[in-house]
Amino acid sequence: MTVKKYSSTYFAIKFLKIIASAKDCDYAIGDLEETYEYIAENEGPKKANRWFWREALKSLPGFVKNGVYRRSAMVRNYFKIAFRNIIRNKVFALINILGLAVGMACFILITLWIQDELSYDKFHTNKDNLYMLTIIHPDDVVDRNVPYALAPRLADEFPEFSQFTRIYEYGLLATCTFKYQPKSGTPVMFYEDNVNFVDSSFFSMFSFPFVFGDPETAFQNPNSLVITDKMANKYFGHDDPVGKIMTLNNSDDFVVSGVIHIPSNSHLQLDFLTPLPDRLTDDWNWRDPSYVLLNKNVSLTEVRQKISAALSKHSPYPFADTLKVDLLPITKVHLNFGRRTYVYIFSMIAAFILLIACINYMNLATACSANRAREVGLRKVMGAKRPELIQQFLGESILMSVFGLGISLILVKMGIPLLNGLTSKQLTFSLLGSHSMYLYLFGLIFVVGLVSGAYPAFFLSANRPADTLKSSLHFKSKRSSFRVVTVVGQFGISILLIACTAVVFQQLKYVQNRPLGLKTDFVIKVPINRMLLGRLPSYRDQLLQNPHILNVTAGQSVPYNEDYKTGGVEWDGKDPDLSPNFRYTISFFDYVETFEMELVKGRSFQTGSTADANNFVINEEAAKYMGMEDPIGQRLSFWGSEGTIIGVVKNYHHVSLHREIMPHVFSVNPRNYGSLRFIFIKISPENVPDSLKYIRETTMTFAPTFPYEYAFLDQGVEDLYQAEQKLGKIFSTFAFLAIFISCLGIFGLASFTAERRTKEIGIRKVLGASLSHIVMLLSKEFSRWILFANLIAWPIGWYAMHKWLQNFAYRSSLNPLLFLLAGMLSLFIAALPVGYQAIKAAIADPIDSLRYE
Amino acid sequence: MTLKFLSRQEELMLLSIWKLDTNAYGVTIRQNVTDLTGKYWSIGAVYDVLDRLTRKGLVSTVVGDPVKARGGKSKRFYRITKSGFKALEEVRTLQRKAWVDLPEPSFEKK
Repeated sequence: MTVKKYSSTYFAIKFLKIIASAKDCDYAIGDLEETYEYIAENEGPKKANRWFWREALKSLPGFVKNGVYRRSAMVRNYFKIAFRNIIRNKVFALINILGLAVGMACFILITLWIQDELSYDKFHTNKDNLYMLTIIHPDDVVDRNVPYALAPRLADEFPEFSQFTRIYEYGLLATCTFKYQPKSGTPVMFYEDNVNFVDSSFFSMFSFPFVFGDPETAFQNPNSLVITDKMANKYFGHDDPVGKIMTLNNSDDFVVSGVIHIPSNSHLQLDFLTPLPDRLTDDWNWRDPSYVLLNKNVSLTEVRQKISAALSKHSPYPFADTLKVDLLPITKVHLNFGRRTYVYIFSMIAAFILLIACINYMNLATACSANRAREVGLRKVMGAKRPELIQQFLGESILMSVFGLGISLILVKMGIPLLNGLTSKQLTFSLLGSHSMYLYLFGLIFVVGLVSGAYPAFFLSANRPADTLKSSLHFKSKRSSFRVVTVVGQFGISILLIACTAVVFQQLKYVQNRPLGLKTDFVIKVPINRMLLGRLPSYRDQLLQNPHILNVTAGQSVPYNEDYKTGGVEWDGKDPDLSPNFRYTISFFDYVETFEMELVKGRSFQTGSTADANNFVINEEAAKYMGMEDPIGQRLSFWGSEGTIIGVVKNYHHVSLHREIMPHVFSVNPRNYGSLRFIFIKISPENVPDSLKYIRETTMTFAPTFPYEYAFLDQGVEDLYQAEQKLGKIFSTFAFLAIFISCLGIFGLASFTAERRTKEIGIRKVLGASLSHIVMLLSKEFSRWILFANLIAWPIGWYAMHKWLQNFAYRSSLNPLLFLLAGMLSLFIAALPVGYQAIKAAIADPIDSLRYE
Repeated sequence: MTLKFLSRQEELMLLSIWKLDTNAYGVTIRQNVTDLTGKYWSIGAVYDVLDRLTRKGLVSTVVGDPVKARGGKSKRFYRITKSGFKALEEVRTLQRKAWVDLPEPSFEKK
C-alpha cells in the first residue's frame, strides 16, 4: 500500500470509512485504492492524489445514502426492542419517564430564571463601558452609595472618563406627590417615592427605550420630567403625555418631555427622572449611586488603580483614607448585590435534581440487567460488537429522555406561573422563535440521555454471551455496590434539601419572633405633605382629641428599616479617624413613646419643649461606641448643632436582622423637619374603623389639596425578609420534588428486589416466617442506605447552612434536631414505597410464588 | 406505455461483465467501460449502475479474499444471472427488429 500514513489521501480514506461504514462500501473503497495505486505508478502520485480526492468527493453522496439505509435497518430494530421493553416494564418505564420529566422541568425552569438573572442590564448599548462607582470599606463591604462630588471630580481629573451621572434619590428623602390637572375633570394625584434627580447625561449613557419623546431633547429644560410608561398609564391613561404638566408637591411644575420603558431586567427602576441642577459638586458628605461611562479601549485595571485612592485624596474627611474607590461593571451590579449566591444555589439544585432523575434510570436499568442479559448475549452471538450495543443502550436512554422532555415541556408550561409567583418575575416560555432554545433542549436530551445511559450501557454490554445464554437461573445481578452509592447519593441530596428548608424556615421564624425592641402593631402610617408639615403640632393635637388615638409622631422612615448614615456626629474625645458609623433619626416628638421603645437611662424628649430641640437621645450602642459610661448630660454635636444627651434607649432593630444594630442618635430639631416623610399614629385596638375614619377626616381637613393614604406599619416588617421567604418556599418545593423523584426510584428498586426474591420469600413463609419478619428483611437494606445518606448529608448541610446564616447578624443557632428530623422524615417517606412493596411481597400466598415452575 | 428494457448504461455494464468473465469487479469493469465509451466514469457512477443491476437480480455477486494491494479489502466479483442474459437478449432482439430494413445512418441531411 503506497498510501502514506497521515497523507491527505490517508485521511480521505479514513473519512470515507466513517461515512460509509456499512460493509458493502468496502468494495468501492477497495477499488478506489487499487486504482489510486495504478495511477500513482503510471502517472505519478500528484495526479493520483488529485484524482483520488475528486473521486472521493464525487462518490460521497452515494456512500452516505447507502450507509444511512443499511444502518437504519438496525436502528429500526433497536427502536422496536426499546418500545417492547417499555411496554413489558410499564411501571419502570413510567418511573423513569416521570422522574426524568420532573427533573428536566425543574432544570428548564431554573435555567429560565438564571437566564433572566444573567440578562440584567445587558440591553444598554454602552454596557461594556458603563460602570457603577463603588466604595470598598476596610471590611470589604461594597457600598453603592458614593459622595456626590466624586464622579465630577474623577471626570475632571482623568481623561478616561467620558460621562457620568449621579442619581439623587429625592423620593427617599422627602415625601413627594405628583399631580396632573386635566383641562376638565378632577386632578389625578398620588404619593410617589421613586422620584429622582439625575445628571443630564443620563440618557446618553443608558439606553432606555423611549415610548414618547426623544433621548436627545428629553432634558433640554431644567423642569423637564421623564416618566416610565407605568407612570404614564397611571396619570394619563393611554394618551401621549409629552408636553403635559405635572406638579410636584403642589408647588413645582414639570413638563413631561418623554416616556421611557424600563425593562424588568434593569437594576435601575426609576419612575420619575428630572435633571439634577448643576450643584453638589463639592458635597463629599451626601451619598447616592453614581455611574460613569469610560472611553472605549481604556484599560480597566489601570483606571481602577488610578481612582482607587481618589477618596482619600479629595475627601475632607480623615476616615476616607481607609476607603477605596472602585468600578463595578453595570452588568454585574444586579448579581453583585445579593443575587450571586442564589444563582449558585439554584444552579446546583437544578443539577442535583436532574442527577437524581438520571440516577433512577441508571439504577433501574442495571437492576433489570438480568432481563436484558439474554438479549445482549444473543446479539453478541449474532455478531454485534460492543460499541454497537453501547450505541443501542445509549439510544434507549436518549429515547427515554425524549419522552421525559415531552412531558416536562407540559410541566414547564404549568410551572411557569408558580415560578413567577415565587420570584416575582414575568418569565415566559415558548418554543417558537428561539433557535437557542431548541439547541438547549436538544443539548438537554443528549446530556440527560448520556448521563443516565452511560453506566447501564457499559454495564449491560459487558455481559459475556456464554454466561448469559447457558443458564438464566444462576445469573447473578452483579455490582450492586454502584447502586448503593447512587441511592445514598440521591437520598443524601434529598436530605440535604430538607434540612436546608428546615433551617431556612427556622431562621425565618426566629427573625419574626425576635423582639425588635419596638412595637409596630396598631400604628398607622400616613405620608406627610407640605400642608401637614406646616401645622404638625395642631394636627397632632387635633388627632389626640379622639380617645382611641394614643400617640402621634413623625419620622423619616419606618422605624424597623431606617438606615440614614452620617459622619456629622461629634463628641468630646472623638477619634478623628473614625468612619461615619452613626445612624440618625430625625423625628417629631413622642417617637420613643409611640413605638414603645424602652429607655434605659434619662428621659425622652418632652413633648412640645423647644429646649429639647438641641438635645439628643442616643441608643446603648452609641453610648458604647463613644465610650461613655454615663452619657446623660454629656455634650454632643449633630450636624453642627450642639446639645446634651438626655436619654439612652435600649438597643432596637432599626434595620433588618441581617445587619448589626448601629450607634444611633435621635433629634427632634425642627430645623430638620424637612426630611420627615411619615406620620405615625398609634391607635388603641378598640374601635379601629372609627379611629381610621377620624384620622382620615382630620388629615383631609388639614391637607385638603393632597391625597390621603394610610397603611398599617406592621405589614411592612415581613417584607424585610422577602428574599428569605422566597428562598424557603423554593427550597421546600425542590426538596419535595427531589424526595419525590428519589422515592420513585427506590419504589422501582424495591419492587424489583421483591420480585427477584419472590421464591425466597415463599420458602421463608412456608418455613414459618412471620409477616413482620419478611417486611423487616426487605426494608432493612434500604433503611441502611438512607441512614448512610444521612451521615453524608448532615455535615454538608451543616456547613452550607452555617455559611448561609452568616447573612444574618442575628441568627438562630443551628439546631441538630432539625437535621435529625430531616433524616427521620426521609426515612419515613422512603419507608412508604419500600414498605408497600415489602408488605405486598410478604402477604403473597407462597403457593403462587413457589408453584410457577 | 412503459418499456422494461435495459438502459444503455446497464446494457454496457452487463456486456462488460460478460466479457470480463471471471475477472469482473469494480476496477476492471470501470476500465472496460471507460475504454469502450472513451468517457470518464467515476467509481460512484459505476457502482450506481452495478447496484441497480444487483437489486434487479440481473447480476449476482461473489466476495473474493482480501487483497493486500487494496488496503486489505476484498474484491466483489459480478456474474450475470439467467435473467441478466434474458434482459440482454431482449434488448438485442429489439435492436435488431428496430434496425431491420434501415440503411446505415448518414450524417448528411436530406
